[in-house]
Amino acid sequence: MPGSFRVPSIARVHAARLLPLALLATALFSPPVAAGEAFAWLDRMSNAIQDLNYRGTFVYQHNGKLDAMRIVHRGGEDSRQRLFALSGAAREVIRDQEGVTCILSDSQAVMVDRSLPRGPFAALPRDLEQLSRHYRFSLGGIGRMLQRRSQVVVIEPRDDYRYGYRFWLDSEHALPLRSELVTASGAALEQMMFTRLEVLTHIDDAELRPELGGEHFTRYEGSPSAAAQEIPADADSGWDFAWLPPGFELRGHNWHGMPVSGQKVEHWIFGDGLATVSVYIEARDENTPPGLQGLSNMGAVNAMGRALDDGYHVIVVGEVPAVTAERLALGVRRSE
Amino acid sequence: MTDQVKEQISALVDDALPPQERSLLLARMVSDPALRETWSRYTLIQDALRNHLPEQVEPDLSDRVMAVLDTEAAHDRGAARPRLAGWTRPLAGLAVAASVAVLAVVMFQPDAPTPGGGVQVADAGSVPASAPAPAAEDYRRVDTSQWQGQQGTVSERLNQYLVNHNEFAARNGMPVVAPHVRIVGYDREQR
Repeated sequence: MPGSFRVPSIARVHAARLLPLALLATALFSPPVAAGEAFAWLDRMSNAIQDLNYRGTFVYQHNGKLDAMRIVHRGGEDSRQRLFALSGAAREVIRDQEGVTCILSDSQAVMVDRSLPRGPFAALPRDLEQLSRHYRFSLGGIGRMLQRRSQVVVIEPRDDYRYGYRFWLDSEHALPLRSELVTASGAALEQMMFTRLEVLTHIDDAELRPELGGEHFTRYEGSPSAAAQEIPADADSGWDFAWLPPGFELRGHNWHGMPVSGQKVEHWIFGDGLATVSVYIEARDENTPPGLQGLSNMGAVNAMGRALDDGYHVIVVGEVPAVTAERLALGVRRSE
Repeated sequence: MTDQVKEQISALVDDALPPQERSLLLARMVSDPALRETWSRYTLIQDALRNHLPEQVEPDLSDRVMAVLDTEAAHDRGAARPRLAGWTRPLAGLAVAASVAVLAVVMFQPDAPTPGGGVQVADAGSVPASAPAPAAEDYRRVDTSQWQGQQGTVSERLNQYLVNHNEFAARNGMPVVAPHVRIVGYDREQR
């Protein structure tokens, strides 16, 4: 055939046999795909999660259990999100500029937390060079989920003080069609997978209104003064942190108003840009209910509580391994 | 729960269990919440895979399963009923195929086997690796997989902290689609 090249039959057979080996060798010895490309995908995902309008149904797997939920999200300046259970007890969470409203039908309660950072849900810009000291970023393969092409992005922690992540990102919008939270050894702790996802140009207010609640629900929302009050960075609070995981820095410091009691609690936020831990120090008296003593966890979220001097109590909580919460809590001391 | 029982539940929802075994299993399910929970989980997996999850808030599936089982058990005490599909399908929208439940387990496994095992759908999984034993300190270690090991007041307070932390974490750390997924999802464990 003019213009074409015909491989002799024996060579074709060899090529067919050798091709998998050749591909394997390429996969094993080629340099890893630039972390920058994976990081760029992460950036796209961050913007998509915050800015797009979407609604979807997903399953959330944790501790061997599976829950189904539905999410409706309006992005941009007027961001608002509604998340509700499709299985198990009827529960809803509404997020907006004013705070977070949790409607819990099993306890007939509505809890509103207004003690939050202000403004849209925008996340801080991240620094790849700094993050690369504590995580390895790489691209996985191309997959298909929900009949969409997806790019796998892998983030591995370099130590045991933080978790890693695997994302299957929709190649068009960069929304995570599936995500996994993994340990440093690669074991998946929790997974979330959309079974349906629509990206929309507009979301009606009606879709973002809660369906649960009513007069018979008890409402807890603290006082108007319960809103978070930022504490200046140079203010001396009288507490020292003897240990922080490598790469963790102070990201915020405020007075937090508890939604149920209205009590003011001092709150520090530490993080490395991906993992985040909160430290709450509360003053206790004979009317304060007992606090957490020791370690506890809810899935991948770990919490550690312990009594401090002079009737104070510290609670460390975050999506970090238990050892991180524990060591951080043990390192809280009165300033000299 | 043994693998054999799980297989029976799978076969039950697949309408493939011999009538005699079916009656025995249904009788056990009436009094065993763990068996009902497994049944409802298999149903949920099936619905998720086939995109048949409900559009609105669903009453507790486990309660509905219980109600149906009560009816079924009463019926079974009368005359034998050869078909299961009559109650299975309207309840969940679809009968659960055992093969599909297995597919879901495979789908949710990590890509590569890892020390400590992956995540199991059918069994309550193990908690994340805990920290090494601490030095003598003024606290006790709480051995629990959720806040459930705590008193109600402690759990309630931890939940308030968790809601608050989630918002700060979403703005300072890894962006997530649903920061409060655990508040919505961990109902049974918290009570």
